[in-house]
Amino acid sequence: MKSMNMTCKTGICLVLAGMMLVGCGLSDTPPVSVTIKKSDEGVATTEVAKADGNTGDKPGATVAAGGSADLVGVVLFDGTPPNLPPIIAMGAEVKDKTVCSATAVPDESLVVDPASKGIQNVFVYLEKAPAGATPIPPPEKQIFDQKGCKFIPHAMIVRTKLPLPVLSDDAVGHNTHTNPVRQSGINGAVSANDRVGALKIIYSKSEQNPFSVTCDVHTWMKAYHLPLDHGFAAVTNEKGEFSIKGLPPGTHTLKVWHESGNALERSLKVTIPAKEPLTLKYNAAKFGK
Amino acid sequence: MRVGVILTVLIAVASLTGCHGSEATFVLSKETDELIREARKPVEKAVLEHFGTPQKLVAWEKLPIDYGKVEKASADIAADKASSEYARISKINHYSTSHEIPGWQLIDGRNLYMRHCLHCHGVSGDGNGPTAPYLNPRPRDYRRGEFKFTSTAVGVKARRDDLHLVLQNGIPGTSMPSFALLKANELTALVEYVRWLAMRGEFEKRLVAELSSDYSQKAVTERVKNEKRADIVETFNKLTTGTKDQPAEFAGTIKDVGDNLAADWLAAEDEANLIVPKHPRHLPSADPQSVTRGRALYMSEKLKCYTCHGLAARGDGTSTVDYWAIPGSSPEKKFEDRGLHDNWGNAIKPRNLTLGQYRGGRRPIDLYRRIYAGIKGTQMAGFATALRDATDEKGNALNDEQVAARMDRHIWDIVNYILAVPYQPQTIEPRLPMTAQAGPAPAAGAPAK
Ligand code: HEC
Ligand code: HEC
Repeated sequence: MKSMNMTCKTGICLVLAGMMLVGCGLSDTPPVSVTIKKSDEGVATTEVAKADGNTGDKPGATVAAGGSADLVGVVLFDGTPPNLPPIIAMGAEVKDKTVCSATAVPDESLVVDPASKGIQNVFVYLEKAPAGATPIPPPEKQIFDQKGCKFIPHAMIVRTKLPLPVLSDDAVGHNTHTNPVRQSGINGAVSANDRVGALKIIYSKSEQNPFSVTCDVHTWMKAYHLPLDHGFAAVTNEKGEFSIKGLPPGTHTLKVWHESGNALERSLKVTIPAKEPLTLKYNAAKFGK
Repeated sequence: MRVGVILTVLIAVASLTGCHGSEATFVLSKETDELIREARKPVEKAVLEHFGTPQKLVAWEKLPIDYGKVEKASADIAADKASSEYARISKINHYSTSHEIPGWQLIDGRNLYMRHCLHCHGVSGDGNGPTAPYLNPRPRDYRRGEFKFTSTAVGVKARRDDLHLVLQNGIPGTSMPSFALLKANELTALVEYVRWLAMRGEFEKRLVAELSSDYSQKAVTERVKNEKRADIVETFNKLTTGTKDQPAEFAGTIKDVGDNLAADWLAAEDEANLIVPKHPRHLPSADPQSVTRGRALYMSEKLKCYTCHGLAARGDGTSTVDYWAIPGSSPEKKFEDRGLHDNWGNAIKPRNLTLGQYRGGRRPIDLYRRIYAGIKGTQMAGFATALRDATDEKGNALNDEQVAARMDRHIWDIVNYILAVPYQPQTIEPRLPMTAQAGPAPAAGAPAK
């Protein structure tokens, strides 16, 4: 400041500074206007679709009067399955050692059954309930648990608007941190050995893809949730098998998703009733392994 | 000679800061930029249609924002008034006079924001104003629709009151100043404008999220291995234009995203989601054991505050040396540097509690809420769910009322402890087993891959 005053004897600086201020305050301010926009201008589309009884699935999903069939299938690994070492070896020096490394914590980022080569924890689902399908009632209860610093199950479809109690069978505290896209995530603490589930997650909306659920106390803990407002979805079992029940006859669009491979299928067309079980095969490159 | 130098500098500065009010624009998010060109266009168009530009604002009635209604008497006048007339008024920085134009509060908020907040938070509220690169922590990027310091339950957005409090108090220990000197109606306009920017940003974010798994550049690069690019684009175009037998799906997406946003922000104002203790705080003077109980909870296995905040509460627990996964990354990626990061990807430190500086407010009720619902967008979880005892010390079952009473007592004990830490050094002396935190413990997290 001082040196500025000294060098500004001519006063040019002042004039200039003045010009700058004037410039900002007055002449340069652009006109600002506001337009009110109605809530839903010309977008009755989804409503119209619903009124027709067509919930938006592809028009190909033709509905035959009565009758439905199950879609069964298997997701297989093509090639020699990788042998992933556990993320936490038994007895390893980790946080809460007595609980967390009492047994090894496996790497569940790609679980392949050596005998059948079936891939576990693959989500196979319809994004929306098919038109004309008899709704599948929500499960009586759904539970998300943890034991040995590992989430159980690792991959799960969660019904929307139904509480999902978070339990713990561990003698240490955990927290459950969700990362959904269409709704806000939660981060809530779970008390040691909470077999009731003080923390309850309620997803209000279906999601497009599964997302991760983590524990901020034990950074290796990870699970995947896919909230859906219908039951036309499955997660593969340890042999890679899945079954989606009660699909109306016609063509349906399936999504197949895995945490390491992500979108294995974006829109796989299947016809119901199917002549034979669906077999899907993916090689190591798909999983970045 | 010196004058010449200063002149040059001044001119340079003038042209830099340069009152480019007329050129203020909203920028697209990084995620939008990462879509293929064909998919970027409709997103850009939708955001423009529903929110406008910094000069031509659009007030979308679907959203729970008080844009500034016109009193009945003046409504007729308003109809005749061209908005440019208001602009002339606003030119002389006469911020909150003309209430004759519907949406006046949005304009007020916009003008105040441009004057007071823009240089840190940026025109778009992306936390990327010209000053931002020099600040730590970085100014909040509103576009996730997420704020850290709220009075609402876990998973619920911020209330208007929470933003008011931040503007009143600033955020101590950061560059976020207090705006307590502004008038009440100015703060109200600012709060609405910040909410509007947040909704604008989240509208864009959620629209992009609907498209990115199929139409990001990355996804399409992957897809062209099996599909023709032209086919991918054609399928996409059908989404926005519709076909003979199907309406444009994207219009429905826009509607759904808007409805969901509106519902989420409305829920934040719902009294049911406001955290209010049922039982008042007990002062440590009346209950000398409270601070000790608070310390025990701080060190307890069920809460594990010490793993982040450290044994001596200096913010240096073992979590600060772990490598953490980028939230929501799939397949999982880890941050390159150790320690905690918030949802914005900025490195954060657990608070050093010995300093007695609280960003979310220093009143006991603020701290109560911090413990109850955590700090949103960070790893500091809401702890209420871990403080609901199923039984008392003797193992007797408790009814709902007793559970709530005990939870309040636990939280107030923790609050009393936190408030004692800066002034009573004995409160941080680890009287619980030091083994709880074994040495420097670099192995605390997942092994680096
Ligand atoms: C000098 C820079 C600066 C200015 C000017 C500034 N802010 Fe901030 N603001 C910040 C920083 C830095 C943070 C983040 C602090 C943190 O992460 O703890 C922040 C955070 C915020 C938050 C987030 C609070 C939360 O709970 O997450 C809001 C809201 C906010 N500012 C609003 C405003 C508004 C409105 C104005 C103008 C009236 C403004 N800020 C001006 C720097 C600034
Ligand atoms: C997983 C790590 C973690 C755990 C566990 C944790 N905190 Fe924090 N805490 C943080 C971080 C990170 C911040 C700073 C967040 C920010 O401002 O971005 C914080 C901030 C705070 C603040 C400052 C609030 C403010 O307004 O500035 C307090 C007080 C606090 N924590 C208390 C606790 C207490 C008490 C516990 C245990 C019940 C706890 N924390 C458990 C990570 C943690």
